Amino acid sequence: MLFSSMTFIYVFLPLVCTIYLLARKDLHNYILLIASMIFYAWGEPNYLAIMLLTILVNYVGANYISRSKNAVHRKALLGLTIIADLSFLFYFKYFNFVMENVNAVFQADIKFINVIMPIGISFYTFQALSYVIDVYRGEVKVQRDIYKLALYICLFPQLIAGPIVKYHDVDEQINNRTVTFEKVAYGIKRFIMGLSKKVLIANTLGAVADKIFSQQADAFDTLTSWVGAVAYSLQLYYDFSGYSDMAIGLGAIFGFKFLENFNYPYISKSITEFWRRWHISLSTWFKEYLYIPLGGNRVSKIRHYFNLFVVFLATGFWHGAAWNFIFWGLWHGMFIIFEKMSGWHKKEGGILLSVIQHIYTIFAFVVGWVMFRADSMAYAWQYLKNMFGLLKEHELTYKFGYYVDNTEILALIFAVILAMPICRNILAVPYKYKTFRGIINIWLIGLFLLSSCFIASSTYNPFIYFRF
Amino acid sequence: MKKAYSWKRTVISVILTVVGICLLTPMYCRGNLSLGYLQTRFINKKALIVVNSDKTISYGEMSGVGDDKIECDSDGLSCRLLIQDLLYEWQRKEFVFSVEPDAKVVINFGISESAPHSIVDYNDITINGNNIVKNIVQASRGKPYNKDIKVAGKKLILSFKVRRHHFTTRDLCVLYGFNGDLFISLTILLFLCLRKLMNYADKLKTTDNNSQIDIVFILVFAVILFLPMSRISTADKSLQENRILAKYKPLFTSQGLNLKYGDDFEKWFNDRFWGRNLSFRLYKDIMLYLNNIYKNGDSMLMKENNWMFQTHGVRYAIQDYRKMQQVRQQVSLLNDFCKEHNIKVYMIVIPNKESIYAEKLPITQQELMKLRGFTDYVQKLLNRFEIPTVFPYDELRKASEKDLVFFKQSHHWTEWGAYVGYNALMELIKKDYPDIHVTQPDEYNIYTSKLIREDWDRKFGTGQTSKRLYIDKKYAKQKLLLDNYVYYDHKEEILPVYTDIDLYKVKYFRNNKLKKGPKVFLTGTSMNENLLQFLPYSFSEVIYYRLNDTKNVKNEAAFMLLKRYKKEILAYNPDILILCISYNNIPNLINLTLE
Repeated sequence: MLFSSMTFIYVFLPLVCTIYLLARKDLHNYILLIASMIFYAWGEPNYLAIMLLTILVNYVGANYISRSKNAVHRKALLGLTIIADLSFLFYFKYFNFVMENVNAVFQADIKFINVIMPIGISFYTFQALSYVIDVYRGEVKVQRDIYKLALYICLFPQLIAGPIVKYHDVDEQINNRTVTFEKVAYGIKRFIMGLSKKVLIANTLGAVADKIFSQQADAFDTLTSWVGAVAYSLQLYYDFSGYSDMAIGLGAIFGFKFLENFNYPYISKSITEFWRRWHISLSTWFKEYLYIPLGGNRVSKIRHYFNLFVVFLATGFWHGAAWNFIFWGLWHGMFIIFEKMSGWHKKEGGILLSVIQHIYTIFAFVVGWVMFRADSMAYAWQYLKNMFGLLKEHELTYKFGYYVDNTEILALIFAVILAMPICRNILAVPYKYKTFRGIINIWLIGLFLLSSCFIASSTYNPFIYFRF
Repeated sequence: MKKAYSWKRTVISVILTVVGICLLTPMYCRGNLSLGYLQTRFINKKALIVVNSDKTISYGEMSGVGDDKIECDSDGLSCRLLIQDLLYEWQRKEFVFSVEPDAKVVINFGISESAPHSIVDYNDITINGNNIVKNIVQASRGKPYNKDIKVAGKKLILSFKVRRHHFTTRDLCVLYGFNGDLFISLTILLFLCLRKLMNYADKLKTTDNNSQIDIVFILVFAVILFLPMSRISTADKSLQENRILAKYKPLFTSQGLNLKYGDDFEKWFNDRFWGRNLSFRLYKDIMLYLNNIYKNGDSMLMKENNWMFQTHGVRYAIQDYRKMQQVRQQVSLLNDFCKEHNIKVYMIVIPNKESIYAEKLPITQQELMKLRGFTDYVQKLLNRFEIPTVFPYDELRKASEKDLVFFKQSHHWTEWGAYVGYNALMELIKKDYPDIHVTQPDEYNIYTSKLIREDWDRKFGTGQTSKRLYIDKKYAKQKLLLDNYVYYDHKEEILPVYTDIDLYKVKYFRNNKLKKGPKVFLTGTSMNENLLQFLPYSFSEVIYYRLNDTKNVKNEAAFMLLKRYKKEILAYNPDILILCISYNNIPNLINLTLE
């Protein structure tokens, strides 16, 4: 089920909220757990079993780890649990990709498996890993109640698109949390903000990007290729951050406080800063569970760069089983290593340097997103060549005006403005400014109705030709 | 103090219970009881059917808001009596029809299935001054009032009084399946739930500086969340979308657990939630307001000139060269197959509307489509095909100066456009069959209409691109359908002797006047539908098999001509095979001969 679907907003959400708010507090976790299971099983019930197996494996693994006093046993148990978790991920997400490459390199003929990747598997696997590693490190107490552990792994607000909640961040909240008017109101507002970002901005810009990226790279001119890359960069940010906002908002409605996942990444002055602001839950996950265990920066310079290389290789690979994701990860890794070597990200100076730093960062991530968006590296390469005027255009090409209308231009303007921290504290207006708060509430209801109208219009499905 | 708060909570709970129980009407009553006024859109549209002695049929419709009297011509089309929303007071209405002598009139007063439960009273129904019904008669949902009458003269004046029915308890309990027990149970349950909710809200821990503004905000949000669920449409089909609406499929079926329940539920809910049509209209209005070009999916409406286009019509202008190579090979293989079976094969590629009417496109797209290079480019591609191919771009451009060759509200060509294309095709065929009869305009009854006839069913409508753009009939008729399109009906019309839409779309025409002429196997896309106004008059037989948009065939398989119709071609043993497709569909020929 998608947050931006009619069924979620107008059936699932009101029913779950009503039951949750009316029920006794000691039933809250069970209600959320059942709701999360329904939410996950809604589209593809078969894959619920994979998630349940993940829960069971981590519950058993963590319990044995906590009971064992032998360091070797503990390590072995941790290793086994991690292997079990990653094997699910590997089988469903990476097996075919690896086999495709093995076949290509060794001229082998290993058959592909016919599986569809379970939705959200990358997210809940990482959450499960976070739990078992935290228990191993002794940072949290083992969760003896399997229902609570299940709730942590499959809590529906962040189940399918994050943020990746680390166990030590919500351990206490699972056991004890309160629902207040403030939290509910804040949660609703945050949800509406996220929904609007997704529906009004990301989807609108997505239409522009899709139109451009769906064509041969030589079928449009250079300006159009930049429009496509920028539209996609903004679409991705608003889509992903919108989803995170909705997740954080829903969490607040149920009394949870999830950490922020985005912090205006497009205003960064370096790629290092970008990764402190973009998908924070993933970058901190890799930092805590990969980068630091590898030695972090408390090692030799070469080893440090190697650690960064590994982290960004893993980041790229986490995003998808294709070479373009790996190259995208390495592209970012390359800039990070360059910045560490040159100290570019720490340089401070006048406005000119600041502008240059912004341009450099925008250039790096926009080019990176082209790799991320392309269906293959070959297409990405052609697209990038077009962006830099190195591709011979088709004899008939479209100009960028073909791809954008007023609504899309409007969305583009809003997207650029709102990517800057201008409205950062709009939901935190003090209560004493009642009128202003009231205006914001009305504006949010308006946004919600408008977003709903856009979502509802997507259900229009005319049968064009004569009906049988 | 505490008591005062409790009293307030009770009052709020009672108010919310009343609102809730009204919203839950369908649960204890068959459908929603209309309490306020009844919109005339719920009245059976075809309230009056006039069957003339020459078998022509006219309809008298009742809908909308406006006049009390309407004069209608017997022109085979419908005529609308506009009446106010029905009140509890009597209103007199009158239809005036010109009819053929001895016409039969069917009075068909009723309420549509999607209407809330209500009754409409009719009284004092007179025809040409003769009172045919003196007592009050009633029409309700599923129980229309019908009466057949013959009219002697040439004029029909139907006059009647109409009003909303005053409800009685009997109406509620008997006619509308009102379930009193359920009503009481639901009311009590709802009240208890809401009371609990109020208590809960009161107990919510709030900080010192809490704000009532936020509490109001939460309440408003909660009410909005429940609105779409509150009234689920029970209609079977959507006229605007031209399709059957999804039906509810339970989780547990006779075959066991329905694993696709989630998808099924979403389809059902997405088709039926309250406010759906309102959302479409609102979305359309916003987009029309914001943009000079209103787009939805791959369709667009140019606000300044009312022209509609398909965006992919422009996008497909550039065909991938590698794909074209493969298409060329496929066409070559089709040629080999036809040669082997002694069949002449011809192809007509219809230019896309966007290239013919490039100047009507947005300025940014004109640049591409206006280029002379575009047609040269297409011609270059088509010249590589082994089979004789005609691309009537120049002919259509020239003909467009005389009249519209494509519908403004559809991607199909008009019958005038099809006639131009037909002539170009016949010119090509004449090289091999010089004696072939090319049908002439004087063989046709030529007339005009603002409506569009374009598809398999040969019915007049508002145009297929209009449907893609959520444009409802009313808006289309008022703002868009302002041009006259020319239609050609042959004076000695050949109707298909055989049609089949169960598995394929097949039409078979036999021309008894040209028994010795060649037999044609025609295939291709929807453009053929208007071409068939002319083609059967040049050949002894024409059998038409549609490629795309046929039942149970996915798009990628649609163009596998030999895989799908090889047997039929060989069994029919035609002299000529004509492949007629639009330029946009050329890449689909990539699978033409795959078996």
